[in-house]
Amino acid sequence: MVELTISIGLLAILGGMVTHWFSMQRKYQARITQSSEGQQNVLMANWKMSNELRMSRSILYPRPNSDKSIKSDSIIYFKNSCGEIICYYHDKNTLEIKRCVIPNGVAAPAVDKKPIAQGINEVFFTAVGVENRLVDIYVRSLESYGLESVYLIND
Amino acid sequence: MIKITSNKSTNKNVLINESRKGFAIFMVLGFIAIMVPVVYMFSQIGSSKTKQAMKFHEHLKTELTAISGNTAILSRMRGNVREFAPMPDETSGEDKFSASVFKTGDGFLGQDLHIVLTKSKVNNHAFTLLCDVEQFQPEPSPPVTIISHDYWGTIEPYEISLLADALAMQNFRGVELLRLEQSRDFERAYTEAEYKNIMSDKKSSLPEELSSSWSTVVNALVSEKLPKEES
Repeated sequence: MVELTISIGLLAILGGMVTHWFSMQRKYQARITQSSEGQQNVLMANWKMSNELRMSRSILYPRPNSDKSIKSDSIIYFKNSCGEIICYYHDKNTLEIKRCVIPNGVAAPAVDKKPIAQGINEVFFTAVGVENRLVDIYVRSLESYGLESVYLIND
Repeated sequence: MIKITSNKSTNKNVLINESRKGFAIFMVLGFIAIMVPVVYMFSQIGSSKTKQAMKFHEHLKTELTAISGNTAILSRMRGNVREFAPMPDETSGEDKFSASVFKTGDGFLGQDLHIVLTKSKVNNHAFTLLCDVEQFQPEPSPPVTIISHDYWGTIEPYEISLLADALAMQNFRGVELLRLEQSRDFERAYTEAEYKNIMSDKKSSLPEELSSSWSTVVNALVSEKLPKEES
């Protein structure tokens, strides 16, 4: 009986320690997962946008102000390598970056069904170069931030 | 009697020892049975996230290495190096890239026309960059004037040392260039006022978030529109 009491006591202490350790690990895990998801969202958004932007031909909006000061917006319009007008914009309700294709012709604009990135809290495109070929992209997802610069290599 | 009592107590001690042993083994096995799946679960969660992060890291790395390789090849062409054959792998920092230059003909000004391909591969991820390059004759010595244009990138694992693959890539890019020509023809078909009207009319079918900035975009489009061609 004494041994059983001691073993139950020990099990309770050990169980308590393990449960406490598990709950702490769960909290850490949740924080790490959240941070990792944020980084992942930022990486994915930057990679997809810079990939298309790099091969594009000119940035239509935003462009530097008339006094040559920089201009930022959560929307960017550019002409892609096929001459179509592409727009990336931030949907604050769904926290998504969406892509809209506006044909440089008579056809109607269409928003892609699949967004460029999800879980994005903020995005800003800043026109830097006077030739409308250089743009900075700032993306924030949860507590993760990303800053990318893209130079358009096609004329 | 004394002997019998002693045997009984020995048997009881043996039983108690056995049950303690069994209880200890039960606890150890139980602990292992709980801990192993939990540790495995944590490691899987961690490793899948790491794998995803590595995937994008490799994508970015191949892209940047291919761009850096392209710059290296253009620099050599600027230094009057001409008519490359497919080249052995070279490095950009720690990362390897391969490059091929195929001469495609001569331009109106006597310049050599080439397609330049650079490719970088990290594990399963590859990025190939293709561009047209016009290389002029040195007058009288390098640097040679270089004009590079119509860049096109793909993540498909083409073999850039093979002419067939290089031609396949050119064909894919050719489709995009035809679409570009179509959009330029559309601009050339209208006057500035007509083009502005057509583009402004698209405002009604744009998502709500875009309608406020669209007029600025239309102004930029009109200012860069190709002039109307008289038929």
